Amino acid sequence: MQIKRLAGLALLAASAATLGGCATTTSISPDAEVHYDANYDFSDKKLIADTLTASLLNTVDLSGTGKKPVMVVYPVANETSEHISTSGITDDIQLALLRAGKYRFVSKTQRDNLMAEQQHQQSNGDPSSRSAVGRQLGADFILSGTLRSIEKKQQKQIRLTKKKMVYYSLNLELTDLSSGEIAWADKADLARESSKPIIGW
Amino acid sequence: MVSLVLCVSLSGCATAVFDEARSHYYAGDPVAGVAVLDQAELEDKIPDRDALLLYLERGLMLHRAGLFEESAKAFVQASAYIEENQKISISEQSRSLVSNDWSKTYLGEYSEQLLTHSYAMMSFIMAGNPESAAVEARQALEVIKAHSESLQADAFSQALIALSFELAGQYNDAYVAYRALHEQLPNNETFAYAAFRAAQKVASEDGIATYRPLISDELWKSYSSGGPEAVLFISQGRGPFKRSSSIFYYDERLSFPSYVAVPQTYGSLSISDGLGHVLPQQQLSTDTYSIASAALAERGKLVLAKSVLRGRVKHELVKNLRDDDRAAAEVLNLVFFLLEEADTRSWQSLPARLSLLRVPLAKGQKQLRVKLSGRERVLTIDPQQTQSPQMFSLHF
Repeated sequence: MQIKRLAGLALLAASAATLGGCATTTSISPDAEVHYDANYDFSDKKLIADTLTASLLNTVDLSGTGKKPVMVVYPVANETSEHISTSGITDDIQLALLRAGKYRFVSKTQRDNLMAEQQHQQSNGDPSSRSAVGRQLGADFILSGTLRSIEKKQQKQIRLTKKKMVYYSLNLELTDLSSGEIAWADKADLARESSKPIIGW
Repeated sequence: MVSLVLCVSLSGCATAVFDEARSHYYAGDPVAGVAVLDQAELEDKIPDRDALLLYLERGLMLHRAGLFEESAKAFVQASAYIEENQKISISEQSRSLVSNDWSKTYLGEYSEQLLTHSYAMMSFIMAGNPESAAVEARQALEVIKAHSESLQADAFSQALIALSFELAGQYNDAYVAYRALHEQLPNNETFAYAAFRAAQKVASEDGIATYRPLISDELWKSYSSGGPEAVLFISQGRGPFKRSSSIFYYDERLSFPSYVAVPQTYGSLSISDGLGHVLPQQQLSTDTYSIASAALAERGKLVLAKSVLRGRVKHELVKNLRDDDRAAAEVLNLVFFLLEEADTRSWQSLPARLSLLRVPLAKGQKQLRVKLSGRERVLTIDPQQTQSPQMFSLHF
């Protein structure tokens, strides 16, 4: 009898735990800093992009001739041990700089599409509405960089949690296409430690 | 008792699915194999604890089918799964103490974990994404570092790591990896050349001085001809599978897994140009049975200790029940005896041998003939593409 009562209580407790742990979904602000683990996430992307954009806007003046300098963005190399889409970072920086109105950009990613479209127009388009060939804007500077990380895991020992430390660093530079001179360079870095339980249900 | 039986029957369902998929794969139709796996996943026939095998088998079959991007995705999914499940689950441990290790989430042997990254590297390279291959290379290095005792002998994966860094333009890391590889295999001239080239890229005078003398005039001349280079990933045969072995002690049974090699005949590899001239080559290979056995042996003590503990737990449960109901205790004892089977889950579609070859070609060469085990493959070479190696993934 006592066993049946205990079993019943256990079932009740299990039901309560299950019901209490039902799935929920809430919206969070993209500006909020939220980290579930030590790995790269959207908060890091925002921090890195904001830091480097501020540096580019505030510490460098490339408008020597009075005209807005023209930039082309090259892919940021990913030298970390995570699959990170670095184009997200450069897209954010490009957008912020365009909005600030101090720079102009030419698109590297659309080059093939632009050529294909122009060839199509030359072959099939109404001459009065064709876009001119050979008039593409030349870039003055290349924006490029490298994202690196250093990861350290806690040594194997008797423990209840596993700790991991990750340091990320994005080095970005602006290279003058004519002279090869690095006209500007800066970096954004961040470090984080996470702790994960080794034992779970 | 019902849950114990369910445990076993569910494992049986997944095994049947994998067997069917592999039968298509071995018959030369990897796409049909993938279709079987996809259908089984849709119908929820594969329990969560066997999900890793689903990703690995699918990834490899997609690679053989030439669908390299999807293959790479499957392997990234596999390594994320391993990472997420690297914990001790109390519920799983409790279940396995009264049944067997089949009820636990399968996270792969250390060799399988490394080869997950190796296949991801190959797939990313073949898909033209060397940067992602380099990411996998870093992850592979972590696995080798954590289990160097059993995995240091995997020269193929180490060569792939170095190649991934080289193709991604990360020459410093490539140089470090080629140096380590050369220390392990000092007689492999092709990789001495790769180390020399990486040393040049990072302007290491020491490296240049060390490796230049190790390159024969013949190889130096081949590489200096200005022709393209071909890199071949060659997989051969069928990889090992696990078998359950038992030790009997009175009315108790202790089971443990061991690897069995599938008998193979390795023919000699011959590479020739379009005119039939045999080209010199040095292959670098890993025997999957060797590294799998070594990896299993590395955790052998743990497996045996767990088996002994399980035997004790079952013995005590039967003993306690015997005091109340002798007949039920005998039935329970029989069920425990029958359930004591070692976990023989493994990535069975792996080949028996993985080889990597780098072949410098003459200027203007348009064809490469690869002959192995009585079969020949003719590869088309683009003679204009000399900036980076041309990659081929072949299975014999």
